[in-house]
This record gives sequence, C-alpha cells and structure tokens, in this order.
Amino acid sequence: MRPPHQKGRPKYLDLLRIKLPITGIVSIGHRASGVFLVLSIPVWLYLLDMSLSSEQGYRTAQEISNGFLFTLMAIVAFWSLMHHFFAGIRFLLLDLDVAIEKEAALKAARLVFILEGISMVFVIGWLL
Amino acid sequence: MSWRAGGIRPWIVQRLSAVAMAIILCAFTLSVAMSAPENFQDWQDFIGGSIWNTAIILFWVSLFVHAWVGIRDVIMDYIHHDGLRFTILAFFAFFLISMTIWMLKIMILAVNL
Repeated sequence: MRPPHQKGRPKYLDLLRIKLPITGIVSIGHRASGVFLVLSIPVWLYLLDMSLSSEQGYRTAQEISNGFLFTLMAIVAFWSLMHHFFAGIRFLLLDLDVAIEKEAALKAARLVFILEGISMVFVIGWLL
Repeated sequence: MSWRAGGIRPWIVQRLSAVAMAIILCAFTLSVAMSAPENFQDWQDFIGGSIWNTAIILFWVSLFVHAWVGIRDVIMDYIHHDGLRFTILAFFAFFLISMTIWMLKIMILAVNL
C-alpha cells in the first residue's frame, strides 16, 4: 500500500519531470532490456536455424548478420544483454546485502554502467 | 518483483535461473572465442556436439522460466485492465512455448550423428 500522502510534497507524474536516481535508471533499464531481449528471441532463432540448415543457409545468415539493420538491432540487443547481465548481478548482490547502503549502492549502479560500456566497446568492435 | 502476485517461489526461481544462465553464457562465450568456428562445418560440429547441444537446452529451461516470471511481473505492474492483462499474458505464454518448440527443432536437427 501507498504511504499516506505528505502535504506540500511535489508529486510529479510527468515522466519528463521525474528525475530518477542512477539506481532507478539501472532498475527500469533492467526491465526494459529484459522485455526487449525476450521479444528479440525469434530473430536469434531464425538466424541460428538458417545458419545450421546448410552451407547456403550459413552464408545467407552471414550476409544478413553483416547487414546494416541487423547490426543496429544486434547493438541494441547486446547492449540490453550487457545491461541485464551486470544490473542482474548487482541485484543478486543486493539480495546478499552487498552494496546495500546508499553510498555503496550508488557506486555499484555506476559500476554497472561502466562495465556495460566497456563490454559494448568490445561488442561493437566485434560486430563492425 | 510483485509481491501481490508473487510468493517466494517465483522469487527463488528467478534468481536460480539467472545464476544458471550467467554461468552457461560466460562458458559459451569463452568456448566460442577459443574454438572460433569459422565455417559451416565447424559451426555445425560446435552446436551439434553433445556438450553445447545439451548446455543450450539447459540454458533454455532457465531462459523459459526467467522470461516468464519477468514478463509476468512487468505486465502485472503496468497493465491493470483484467482482460488486457490476460490477453497479453496469454500471448507471451503462446510465444514462449512456440519459441521452445522452434529451439528444440533446431537443436535436434543439429545433433551430430
């Protein structure tokens, strides 16, 4: 249940005016990336199926995966995966009471973005 | 996590499946990087070999429950209209089951005999 509303407290429901702390961005990003990853499953299965079907299929899958649209989608998908992975590890650690105090929590949230940034440099280098 | 609909079981399932997928995913990435399959035959041998064929199916078991619990939580938090909520949940149930059948078809056909 919602706590009783305190008088005089600004209550913004305007998404553009709500300023989420970095921990909140990690959290909503975890949800959004999870949903995107689930919705992207057919693309990966389609390519995997094609790449294993025959020599010809393997080459076609290679051509598709070198295409611009696919590369763009793959970057978003890998970014989602990296965010989901590192943010997920942070949430697992929170369950173990690791980095649960405010300062440490903010540091850990920043670390999530740093690690996903570093891994994305490798992913983009590998994709392009 | 939605406690309203939750209970401790999906909470534990979500975490165990996450750990399982994290381990398999890291191992898979290392294995691909080391064996570097570069043509159809190598790729077919890699995915069709018993180790990764089995590991991918085990990964999928975790993926299936993890995706279901996650999607269910998101839908229950944001979709409050009963009919719409049911429809979207039913869509994702159908979606995940279809994807599972597709994945099994790919893995079974890829097995090296």
